[in-house]
Amino acid sequence: MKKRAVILLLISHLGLALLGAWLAGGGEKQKAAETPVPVPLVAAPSSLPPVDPQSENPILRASGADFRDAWEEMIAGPRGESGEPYGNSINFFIDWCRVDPEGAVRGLARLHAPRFAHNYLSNAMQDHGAELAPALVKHWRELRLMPDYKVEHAVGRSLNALAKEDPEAAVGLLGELPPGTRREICGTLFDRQDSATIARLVKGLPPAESAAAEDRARLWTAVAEAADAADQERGLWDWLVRADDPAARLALAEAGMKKALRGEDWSGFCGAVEQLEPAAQAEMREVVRQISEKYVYRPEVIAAISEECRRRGLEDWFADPAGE
Amino acid sequence: MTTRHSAILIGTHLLALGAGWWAVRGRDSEPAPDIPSALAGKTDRPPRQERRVDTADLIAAYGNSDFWMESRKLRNLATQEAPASGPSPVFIPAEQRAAEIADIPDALQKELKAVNAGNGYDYELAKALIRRWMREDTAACAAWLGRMNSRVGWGDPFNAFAEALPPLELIGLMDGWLRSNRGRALSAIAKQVATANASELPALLARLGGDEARGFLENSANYARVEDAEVWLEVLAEDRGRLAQLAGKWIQGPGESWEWRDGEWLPSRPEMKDWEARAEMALAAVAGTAAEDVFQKQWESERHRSEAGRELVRVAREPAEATAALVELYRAAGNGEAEAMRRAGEEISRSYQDGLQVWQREAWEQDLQFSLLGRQSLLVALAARLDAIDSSLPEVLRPGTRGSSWRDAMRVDPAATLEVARQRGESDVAVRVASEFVQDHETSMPVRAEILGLLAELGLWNQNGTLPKAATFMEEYVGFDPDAARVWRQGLPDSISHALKEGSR
Repeated sequence: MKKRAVILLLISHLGLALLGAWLAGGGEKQKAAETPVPVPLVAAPSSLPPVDPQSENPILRASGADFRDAWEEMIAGPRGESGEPYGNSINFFIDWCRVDPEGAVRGLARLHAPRFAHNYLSNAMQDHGAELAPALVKHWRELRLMPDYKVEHAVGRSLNALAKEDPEAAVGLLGELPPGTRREICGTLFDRQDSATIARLVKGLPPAESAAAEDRARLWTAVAEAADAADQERGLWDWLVRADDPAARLALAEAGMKKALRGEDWSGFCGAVEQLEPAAQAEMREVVRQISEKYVYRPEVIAAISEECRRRGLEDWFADPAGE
Repeated sequence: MTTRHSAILIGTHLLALGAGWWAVRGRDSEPAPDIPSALAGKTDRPPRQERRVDTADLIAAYGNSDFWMESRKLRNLATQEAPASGPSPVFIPAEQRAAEIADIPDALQKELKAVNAGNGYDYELAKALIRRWMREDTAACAAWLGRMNSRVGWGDPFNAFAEALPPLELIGLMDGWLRSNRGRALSAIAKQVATANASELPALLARLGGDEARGFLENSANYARVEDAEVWLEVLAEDRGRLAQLAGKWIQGPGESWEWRDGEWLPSRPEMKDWEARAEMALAAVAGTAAEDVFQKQWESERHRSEAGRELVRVAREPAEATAALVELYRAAGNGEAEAMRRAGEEISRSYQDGLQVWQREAWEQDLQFSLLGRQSLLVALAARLDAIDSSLPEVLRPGTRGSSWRDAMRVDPAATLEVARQRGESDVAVRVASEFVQDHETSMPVRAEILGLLAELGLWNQNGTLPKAATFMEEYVGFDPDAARVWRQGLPDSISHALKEGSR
């Protein structure tokens, strides 16, 4: 065979081999395109590089799989007084959450330490709350050895952290949780959020109308507390004026009355009621009477409320209806 | 070219094509992540899981403070907000920062706003500011504190206030305060008085009078120090209930908190080490007063409780010796032989039943962990433990230790536990434990459902027994996790499904 023919043959074989390689790669890409790529829900990834393969430090080099294998070994070993694995396992767990939150949550499910297990999540929450949220929402059912309320508390705190970075993502994840767990979580979701975020979260939540009365009250009480904390001057009063659900008005009014009582200043509360529709104002009058009886308001407090009503030209909420 | 040549050429070209395809495909494949695909797709991709570090190296790194501190420092840097501009912040003591602030009310208002918004605030700075303001303009500072409107629980400014002047002078500054702020300041002063100026207590109580005095006394008694016993005996002379509380506070033994360390039994809380010396101080202070008998009684009961507590803990290590010592303790306390044995037995059962003490705890907990990891069968471990309890524990220790073993096992692997119960003919015990478990609010819903499902399969879920009724549980489960409840319901045997239908009618 001639030299030229051999070269031609080599080129054609090589060409076809490359074509095969391209097809293999392209096929993978095509497959990836067919299955919808899940949108990462975590808004702001940790500013730490997840793994640094160049580091001298095994901790910074370790992958999720490394942590998983080491964890299995740690938890099989001897334990401390309250059942925690030896070997700085809390810091170990936090670092694992940084690299692989899902692996860490699932690893925790494999630990038998009834008196100690919940400490891992509460510690990791301080650094990796937002990153843990998707992992917890996906795997919370596996943490079956922990009491539900402890798991829900952890999920709530991580959603709270995520909501500070991306409220929509937090609401999206909340929608993936079953109703029983959502109930508890609403109590932590709003805590220490700013006014705008509270409004976005409330708007994004599953409609409150379908929930049980007790759950609605819980939701609105949490909103009231958070709104007041976020804006002491106007937060609570704005929500009270805007609320169109009686359950919301009741919870907001109760929180508002507590605030007024504590600050011995009824102007904000009465000012908000003044802005309500007449029907809602009448409803509020009933609420005020009920709450003042429930908490046994002192006569001077009732006098202060009546005085504020008079000052604003509102009817006196404590005047005897029979006398009118 | 012949036909044969052409065929060979086509064949080799096809082989080259296949080889190229195989090479690329083979190199790219990653080990599949072990996450069930059913749940995947809800969140982001799992991270690449190739191994980088030797397991032993990684575990060892957490014993090396240089390594794990490096990781912690990076963590702190990442979570801290980047400084707006300028050089990195240097630590300045709060007192110095407070001294450099020109407008104190404005600075405090900012702290207050941060507290109310739940943002990070600097409690050290707030306290330092109050201390400075109280020195420079006492009246203005008191007026601000009295009218400020902050989140409940922000006690720092009130604590600084309580330490600034003698208590009577402070109370004189509190006219016109908001009631809630006055209450908070008074409780801060009550603590301060109890820990630093107890001698002023009678005068203060006279000044406050009525409800406020009562609340003040209650608050400060929580911090009463045995060193001020004389004052406390004077102000509480008439109140034997409160005196008994004080006796309980000052004479407090380690109870069952003992541990075996360096060859001896020591209170496991270090602050309990000198409890006897502190008790003797209290006894000396009340000698000859009307409270003496209350304190003496407390001393005797605490001494007995702590000695008995130590023996109870020791039972896990040396069952026979410790049990005998415990019986002896009850005999010395004036019980007859039979009564002493009964009481010792009762105490041991209680302590081991509650899981406070666990016989061979370490080995048993490791068995439970290994079962959870799938490295061994709980079937074998539980059966072996029950056999060991029956053969090597004194009679008195058996019921409690058995009970807590059943409970521990039930939580980790209900199926294996129920199987052991069936094999040993102890299904009644298992049902009782299961029933307690299902009704315990610490037990998660999935575990409850699993236990009930297993009992149903075995025909042990009696609808008129101590277990919850199927319809009641189903309703609760659906409210909690409808999808899981549906799947669970499908696995139920006909008899329970029938009960469910009946219940929903």
